[in-house]
Amino acid sequence: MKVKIDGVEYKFEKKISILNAARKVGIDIPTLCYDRRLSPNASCRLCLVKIKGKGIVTSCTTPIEDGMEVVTDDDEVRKAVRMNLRLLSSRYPKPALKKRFDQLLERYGLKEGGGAINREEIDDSHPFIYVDMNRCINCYNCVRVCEDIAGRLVWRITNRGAESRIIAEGGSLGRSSCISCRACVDVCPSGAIEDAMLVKYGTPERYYWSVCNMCSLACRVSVGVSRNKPVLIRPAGEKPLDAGGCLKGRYIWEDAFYSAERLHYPLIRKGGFLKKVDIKDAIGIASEKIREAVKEQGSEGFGLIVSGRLTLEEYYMLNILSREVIGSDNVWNSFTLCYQSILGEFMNSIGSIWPSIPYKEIGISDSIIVVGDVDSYHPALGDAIRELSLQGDARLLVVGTSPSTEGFMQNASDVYIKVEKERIGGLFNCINKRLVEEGYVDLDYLRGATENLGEYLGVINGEKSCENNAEKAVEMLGRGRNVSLIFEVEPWYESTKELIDTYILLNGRERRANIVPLFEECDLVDAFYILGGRSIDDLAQKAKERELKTLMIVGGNILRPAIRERLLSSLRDVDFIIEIVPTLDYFSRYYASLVFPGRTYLEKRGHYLSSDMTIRHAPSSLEGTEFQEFDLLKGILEALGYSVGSMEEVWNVVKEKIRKNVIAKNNSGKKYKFLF
Amino acid sequence: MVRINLPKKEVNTFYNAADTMPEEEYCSGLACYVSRNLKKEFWKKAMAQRPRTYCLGKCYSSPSSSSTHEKPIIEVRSRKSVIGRYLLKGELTLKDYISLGGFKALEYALTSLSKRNIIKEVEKSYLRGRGGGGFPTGKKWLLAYNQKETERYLIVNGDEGDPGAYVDRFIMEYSPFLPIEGALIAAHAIGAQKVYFYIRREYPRSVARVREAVKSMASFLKYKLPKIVVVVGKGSYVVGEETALINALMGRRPEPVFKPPYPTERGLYGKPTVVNNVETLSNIPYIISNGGKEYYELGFSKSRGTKLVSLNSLFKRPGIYEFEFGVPLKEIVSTGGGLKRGKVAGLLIGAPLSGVVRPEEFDTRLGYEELEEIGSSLGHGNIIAFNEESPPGEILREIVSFLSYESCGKCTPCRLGTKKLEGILSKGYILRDELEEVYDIAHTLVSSSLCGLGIGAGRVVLSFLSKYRRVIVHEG
Ligand SMILES: Cc1cc2nc3c(=O)[nH]c(=O)nc-3n(C[C@H](O)[C@H](O)[C@H](O)COP(=O)(O)O)c2cc1C
Ligand code: SF4
Ligand code: SF4
Ligand code: FES
Repeated sequence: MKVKIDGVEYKFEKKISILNAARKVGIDIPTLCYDRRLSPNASCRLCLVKIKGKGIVTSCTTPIEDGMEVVTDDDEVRKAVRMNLRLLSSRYPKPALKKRFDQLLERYGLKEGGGAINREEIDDSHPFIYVDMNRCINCYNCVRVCEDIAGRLVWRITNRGAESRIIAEGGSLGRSSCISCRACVDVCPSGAIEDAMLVKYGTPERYYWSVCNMCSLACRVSVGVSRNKPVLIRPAGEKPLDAGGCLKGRYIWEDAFYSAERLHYPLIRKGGFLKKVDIKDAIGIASEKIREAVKEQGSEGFGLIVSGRLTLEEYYMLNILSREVIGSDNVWNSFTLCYQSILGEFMNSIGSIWPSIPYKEIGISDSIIVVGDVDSYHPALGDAIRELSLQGDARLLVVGTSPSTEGFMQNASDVYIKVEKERIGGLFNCINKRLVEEGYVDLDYLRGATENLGEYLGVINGEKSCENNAEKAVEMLGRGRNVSLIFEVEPWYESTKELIDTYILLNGRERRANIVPLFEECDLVDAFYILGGRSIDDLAQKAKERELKTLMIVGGNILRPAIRERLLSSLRDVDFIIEIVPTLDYFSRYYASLVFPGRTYLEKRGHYLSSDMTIRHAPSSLEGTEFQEFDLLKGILEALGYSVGSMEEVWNVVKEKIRKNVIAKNNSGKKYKFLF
Repeated sequence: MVRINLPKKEVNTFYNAADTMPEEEYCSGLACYVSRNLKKEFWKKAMAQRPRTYCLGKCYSSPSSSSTHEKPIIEVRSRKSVIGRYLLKGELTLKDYISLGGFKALEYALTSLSKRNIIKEVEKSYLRGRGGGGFPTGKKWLLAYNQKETERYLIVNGDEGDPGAYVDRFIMEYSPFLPIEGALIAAHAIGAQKVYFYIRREYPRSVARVREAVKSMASFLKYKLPKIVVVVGKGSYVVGEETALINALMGRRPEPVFKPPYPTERGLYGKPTVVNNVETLSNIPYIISNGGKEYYELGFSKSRGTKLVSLNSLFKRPGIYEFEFGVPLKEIVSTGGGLKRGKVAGLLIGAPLSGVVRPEEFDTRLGYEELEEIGSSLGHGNIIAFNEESPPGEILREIVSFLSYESCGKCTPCRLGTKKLEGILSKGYILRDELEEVYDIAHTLVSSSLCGLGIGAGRVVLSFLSKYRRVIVHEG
């Protein structure tokens, strides 16, 4: 599709909106009511452009057409945009915040804002959200995001015309059914709905980089600080896959950082109660308990449970503790606890559970398949994928199984297939079969790259029946030149095999296929050190037989509830449990004998490994956070007679290890094996 | 996916009459304004009434109130009568309607024509929408007919909110079977399973008559027909805009939605939907019985068939006249017998979303394009004459204040622009200093409003300024 924008001809692959097309080629068009997460509302009337032969239209709602000629900024357009902005500003209080609306006013040289401030329009009844409807410019973004994305109806419009206003359900946000997702804060362009934290502590004085560890993507984020307190998290960039803009990452930290249960010093259990203890003494007790356990039971007497959200430096220290100092393999982590069965399938077939590309490279795919609820578990990635599709960068096939996937992803998809979970395997089996039948696979290439092509073809041509009708999907994938298969792996998925086979089949000389497995609740990062670790039954067994004397739990526990229950029941039989966590949780409250205060990611220094094998550096810059988990572990190791260097020295060792082990493993040249 | 039935409490605040209205309502509409001197006490009461009532469909005897019950003159002035002949004898019973040949067209369509051929006849007739847009009806039906989705709807638009318009009202009251027959033919042709008949609350008699008609037909017609649901408005002008109407029927705020996609592709509940005006559908039985060609022979240029026009109470002979398209405006004015008070200073045709017509332009012939050419528009065929008692600046004030009151508030220029204009015009004229601002706002309304209301508001202002600038603009 060829479209002329401001005199220059551009080519586009998909029929996207003029707005998205223009932005894609770097031409900015002012908008207020457009938000990439919402379907257009076309109410602000700022995104005006002129189409030759047709006149002025809103670019957010008008799709491009072949041969179209668009002018984004001529006299008539600018005049109308300016007038609409002026009308909006006539009731707006003095521009103060640097919200999008304020920026637009500045860009158009408008300083009118001087609307009266009516106290009744201010609602501070909600602990996290501050409402000042004097600033509202009636874009309805809040109403739409609440209805369409949060699935609530908290924000409502009353009256009509110039009298229309936005109100919270029941007239008070604090008493409404708001779930505090703060999506409305995010989409409000005027600051009428604002983060209470910002209002309370002020706009950030400075920002520093950190790495969000709320999911395995480990996005870089920017932390805004006011009076040495973090008040705001911003995404690191504006492009999709710069990510870091998801709601989880933006807000969940507050719950931990500002929690009333935040730990500031170690606690020791005495007569059933947790009592404050000096840090030096606590380190002494911990190392003593470890030594005792080993003395009684040998190296099997001590074990570790580690979360998936630690820094690489911390993993290194824990590895030293377990493998070198104690000499055991007693390390459990969330990944192996949840995914042991599936692990084997990956290793057996493609030799790795890592994504075959860094997430950023999904951006160069022309076709993307999404299976499962990416949005709920990896929201930043879900956002990015949706945007790639809406911007026309890639065709999107969504295989939806849950209602939430339907709502969000479906709207952005080119092909949507709804299927029950148990039938995903059948669907992909069918896709695979058709890919072969319709000549979309490069058999010559696959013969060389796989171990068992002949056998596989025999099976899919023969006994495996094709129950689904998947023509559109097959056509889309077949025509793709760079296809990314992104799927949420759940422990009970039956379909992993077929999905891996699809990935293998799509590889060829003319087409590159990428596989990006995502693990819904658990993370890969820790698995990097401890792959092939031990299962939960193994842990329970050891505890039951009273073999395990001392157990150390590092990081907030993030296991799935089902497993958590089983874990808790076996932990009763462990003599001494040491825990390192930022906030007092039920583990520490009821099971731990010794609790060390941990750091949230906002305060941590170190490096994270994103599950796509990209390394991210977090340099903390909050004052008073110098002593960290690293130092604590170092103290314990030293008390056990083992000395390690500084964090920088440790990092250099880790870096080397990653290069050797992981990168090399990924390029081992091993042949693929179909699983069917 | 659209969520239906939003919380009623807030949605109801959109309408001005969702809760209570005074027992006796007085109209503040434009037709009542220009004839305010005919019954001064009525107008006074209207000005005092809150919330306001806009148009009771009694513009032939205005200023009007809900408790007067005069009837308009109704005459056929065309070579052949398409609709008028069903209105000459007052309220028809089902039997009366059948004796005039009623339901023959429906029977013929159901038994002897294919769906595609019904649509072909309508296309041949070149019938265009009488709700104001003038979109070819056959083409609209074909768009819905060609959709893949099989769940479809037909909506009959009986919201007639334009001041001076009361044609739809008398079709619904006197001969409700006529638009229903047309609607059933339309529903059959496009494959709609359900028909919604939306009638404004200001027409209680129309509501009663259409309800009655739907009931009485049930036992009479032996075919399996789509269900007809009658829905009554709650007081809003913009709800007559088709996408707003669709929102209203879904229990959402009746705000217009951008197009495309058009309702024929994504309408009620996201399904293909045809919205047609009452009068539009009332032409259908004739077209099916006599063939599209015969209908096409009436009228002229790109406006074919006949049009019922309604004249306001300032005329000596106010009422509904069926004319063929092509009749010169001056003939319409003389049919009305001149004015009761003063001389014709100008006409408002298709108000409020259309420009003003000066006496020098009365040679213009009645037709969609012809009226557009002089900056006016056919609208509902509602013609309001005004005399020198109503200065153009004040008429413009009335129109703009109506549109500002009725603006849904969704889009910026209309929500705030009409309000601003209302303020400037409140004195009944424009100061020279304000002129540039007025032009800027009007142009912005025309170029950037979301729906016809805002666009129309801008056009009205520009039309008045181009034709009466000297009297509207005062030197400081
Ligand atoms: C502000 C506004 C109000 C409208 N009110 C009405 C109305 O009261 N009755 C009507 O039939 N059409 C009305 N329309 C036109 C409808 O949107 C739509 O075009 C019409 O119902 C289609 O039917 P038709 O093609 O048979 O004319 C209105 C349009 C606008 C922009
Ligand atoms: S509160 Fe904010 S998001 Fe909601 S309508 Fe007003 S300006 Fe838009
Ligand atoms: S033009 Fe007026 S009535 Fe139409 S959508 Fe905009 S605000 Fe609503
Ligand atoms: S962004 Fe298009 S109208 Fe607001």
